[in-house]
Amino acid sequence: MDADFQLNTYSILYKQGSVEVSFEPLLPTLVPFGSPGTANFSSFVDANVSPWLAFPPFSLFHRTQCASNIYNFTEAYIRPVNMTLQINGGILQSIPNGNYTNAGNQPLGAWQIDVHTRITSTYNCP
Amino acid sequence: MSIKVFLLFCLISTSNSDINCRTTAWWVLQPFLKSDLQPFISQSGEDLTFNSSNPLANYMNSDEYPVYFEFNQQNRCEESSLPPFVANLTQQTFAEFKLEIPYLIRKNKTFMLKPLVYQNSSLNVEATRLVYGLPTYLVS
Repeated sequence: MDADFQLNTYSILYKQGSVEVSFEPLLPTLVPFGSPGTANFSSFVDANVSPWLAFPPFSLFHRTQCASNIYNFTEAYIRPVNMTLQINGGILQSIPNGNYTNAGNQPLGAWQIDVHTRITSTYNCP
Repeated sequence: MSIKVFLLFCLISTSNSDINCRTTAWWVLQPFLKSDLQPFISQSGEDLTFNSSNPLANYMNSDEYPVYFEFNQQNRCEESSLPPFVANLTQQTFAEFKLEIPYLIRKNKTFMLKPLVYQNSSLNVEATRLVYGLPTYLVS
């Protein structure tokens, strides 16, 4: 598993499968979220509003709990990227093998980000 | 090995506290067929349904649904409840991939499902499984 922020590549090798991703930056540098041209990133902010489901094995009362990733998006640095993704060997389970592309700066897009993250402990779901 | 056990103990014993990280990453929202995603939902054992009026529905076909890929490098992750010296000692930096399905409906509320996680730290794989119960696998 390797994240190379100089070459803009990311790879995963697991058993017989692999993921190979390359990203083409659409801006020369990361810019603050809210800068001109970053409005489409708001779809990622929206997606992170809701909590995620956790299944702590030693929970005494409720098997299913929740947790949240709380990002400091107001101080995040981002830039849109074009993505080329290759999935081999069933490594992403029911996600089909194949080549996928994503033209970065759109609501269904691809972005590079640098942000502070707080991951909460588990709590009872709302 | 004893250090690893100590670190794991620290992480699990402080599972009621938050974790602070600096995330450098690429994030992607990509549409996939709902039929490809249904196995993840079924495996969760939860009564989850696709939200057909999710905010991204207008950007894809009706038989598709957004998947959120996180290609992360988590830097200097620390438990917030530990004394600074111990937090610094147990600090973790690692790569992780997360496959997520957002905007799912459960009991009329919206949730995200994380059905697949890869990490390159055995310590964090164990902690993620024990603290959050996520299906997490170690890759070198």
